[in-house]
Formats: sequence, C-alpha cells, structure tokens
Amino acid sequence: MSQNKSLTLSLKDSISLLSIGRFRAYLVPFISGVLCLILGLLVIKPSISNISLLLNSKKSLEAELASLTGYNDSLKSYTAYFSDIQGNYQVLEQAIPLDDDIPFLMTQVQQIASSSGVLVNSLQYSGGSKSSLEDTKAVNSSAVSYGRVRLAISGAGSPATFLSFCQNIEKASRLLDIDTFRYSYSQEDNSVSFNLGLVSYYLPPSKAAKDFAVSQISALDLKSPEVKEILEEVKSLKYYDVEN
Amino acid sequence: MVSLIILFFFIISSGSLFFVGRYFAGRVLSIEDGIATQKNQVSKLADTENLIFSFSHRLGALDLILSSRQYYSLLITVLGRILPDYVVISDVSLDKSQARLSGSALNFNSLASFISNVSLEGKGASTFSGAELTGTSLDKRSGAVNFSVNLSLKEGGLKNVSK
Repeated sequence: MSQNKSLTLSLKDSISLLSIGRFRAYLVPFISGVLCLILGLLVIKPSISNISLLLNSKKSLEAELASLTGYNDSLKSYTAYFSDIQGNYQVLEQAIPLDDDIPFLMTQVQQIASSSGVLVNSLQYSGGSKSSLEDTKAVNSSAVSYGRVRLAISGAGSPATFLSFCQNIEKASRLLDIDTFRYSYSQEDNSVSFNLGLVSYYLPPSKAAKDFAVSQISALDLKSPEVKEILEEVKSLKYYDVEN
Repeated sequence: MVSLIILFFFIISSGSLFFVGRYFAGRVLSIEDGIATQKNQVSKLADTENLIFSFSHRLGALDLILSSRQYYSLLITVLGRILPDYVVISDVSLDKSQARLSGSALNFNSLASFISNVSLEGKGASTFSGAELTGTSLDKRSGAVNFSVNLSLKEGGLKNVSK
C-alpha cells in the first residue's frame, strides 16, 4: 500500500516537474519573442527610419552650410576692397545706367555729332525693348537681361567727319551700338549723308539682386583677366558731360 | 538560451540605435546653429552683397554686349583701303552679315581690281568673306561702269577695332 502511495507521489512530482519544464521551455522563448517584437516595432524600426531621415537632413544641411560658409568668406574677401569695387561699379554704371534716361542719351549723341563735325538733320527716339537673353558667354554664365533704347539719327558731313562720328559713337562711355547703317557719298561736293539706327542699354537695379544665385557670387573673380579686360575697355571709353 | 541571446541582441541594438539617433540629432542641431550663424554674418554684409550682385550683373551684361558688338567704323576704314583709284562708292547699307554697295568705276578693269581687293590679304580679307556682283551697267556717254555689289561679312570681321 505504502509502496503504491510513494509510486503515485513520484508520478505526480514527475508530472509537475515535467509541466514546469515544458512551461519554462515555451515561456522564455515566448516572452523573449514578445520583447523582441516590442523592441523591433517600438525602438529599432523607428530608430532606423529616424536615423535615415537625420542622415539625409545632415547631408543637405552640411551642403548648405558649406555653400553659406564659402559665400560668407567670399563676401568677407570683397569687403577688404569694397571702395575699389564701388569705384569700378560706377564706371560700369556709366556704360549701362540704371534707367533709360533718354534725354541724357540724346544729348550725348548730339555732343558726339558736334565734336565730330557732322551736321545732325534729325535725331529721334525710335522705341525701346527689354532683352532677356540666356547668357552663355558672359563672365557669370547666367541669365542676363537688360533694356534697350533705340534712336534714329540722320545727318551729313565729310567722309572724314562721318568716320570720326562713327568712331566716337563706338567710344562713348554710355554704350552706344550702331544697329542699322546706311550712307551715301556725293562725289560732287565730297559729302556724306547718313542714316543710322543706334542702340543703347540700361539695367534696372531691382533685377540685379534677383538674378544671381548664392553660388555665383563665389564664382566672381575680380582679378580674372576676363573681368580686367572688360573694366579696361569700359574705362577707356569717353565720358560726355551733358550737364555743361 | 537562443531566445535569450536574440533578446540580448535586440536590447543592445535598440540601445545603440537610440544613442546613434541622439548623436545625429545633435549633429543636425549643431549644423543648423552653424547655418544660423552664417546667415547672421551674411546679413551683416548686406551692403557688400548688394554691391557684388549689382556689379556681377552689370559685368555680365557688359560682357555680352561688348562680345557681340560690331564696329561699323571699321567698314568705312576697310572700304577706303580696298577702293582702287577711279572707283567711287556712292551708297552703302549694312545688315548683320552683308554690306550692299553701289557705285561707279572708270572701267571694268577698275571694277575687277576692286572686287579682287575684297578677298585679298592685307586689304579686305580680314573683314569680308566674298563679293557678289549683283548688277553692272555701262554709261555709254562717259564710259563709266555703274555697279552694285554685295559683300559678305566675315564672322567677327567688324570687331575690336576701337580697343
């Protein structure tokens, strides 16, 4: 009887031990799995996407910072010779003024005519237009837009004075280009009568600050031969003082 | 045991990713601070900035205008150089690529000399690429030849003489 009882007990113990063992064998992986799932969903996955976003953001911000630092450094280097640039800018502004200023332009043409020795029969404003050209050859390789003023002039003079007039037009400090060109020569009185279409240019100030990107200011090299050449050419032009 | 190892790995990964995320967030904030500082410095240099903008723009426009400029006075100079004696040009008109001339010559030899001078080195070759005689008529009374001719301009043939 007692042997039978102990056999029953050891069987119960074995069953309970077996149940706990089985329970442990399944519970630990189950809890680990749940915790892994929770960590994966709540920490790892958001962290990975967050880090990916932060990396992209860091990359673009670093590029912006580098661009701004370069821009700032360029501006600081220009500050050192601000007055020189200002002086050169005034020369450029004489060549292409801020507005069309047609009375000044017509007076300049009349002064050129009288100093060249040709007689002006008529000088009239024949319209204006706004040019907007994609500039690939210019110093800054960017879109440059400027206004044009057109004049028509007819007059007479000797061949020598007519040549002088054309040369002086081309050397005027406020840029003047000959657009249409026609002349007749009379052998009898050795005289030339001419009809010319002239074009001058202007550049409003509001456009200047908008048309350039941050990177382009760093690209401007004021000591480059190209810039020097333009400045030299503009400085060699003759200024006509219309006030006097 | 394996499940505990995997759990441990997940815990370590979560912790690492958390700190890495914090590190990058800190870096981004520091870069943003740097950008704000740079922008602040740029705003203090507004005068220089505006001057350089205007200067660049005007310089670009000038470069464009000067590089496409034609110096028409050169045409008069070159015509004077290529005209032989006894040839007179009475009318000249010019568009971008062609000069239309009319005039009179003492005889056909003078006219031929003028036409050949157009493409002769040291005469008109640097300015003109060719000549096309579009009309001739003989003045029977004087024996002079009236002519009209089109001269083709070379690309860049009327450039940079005033420099």
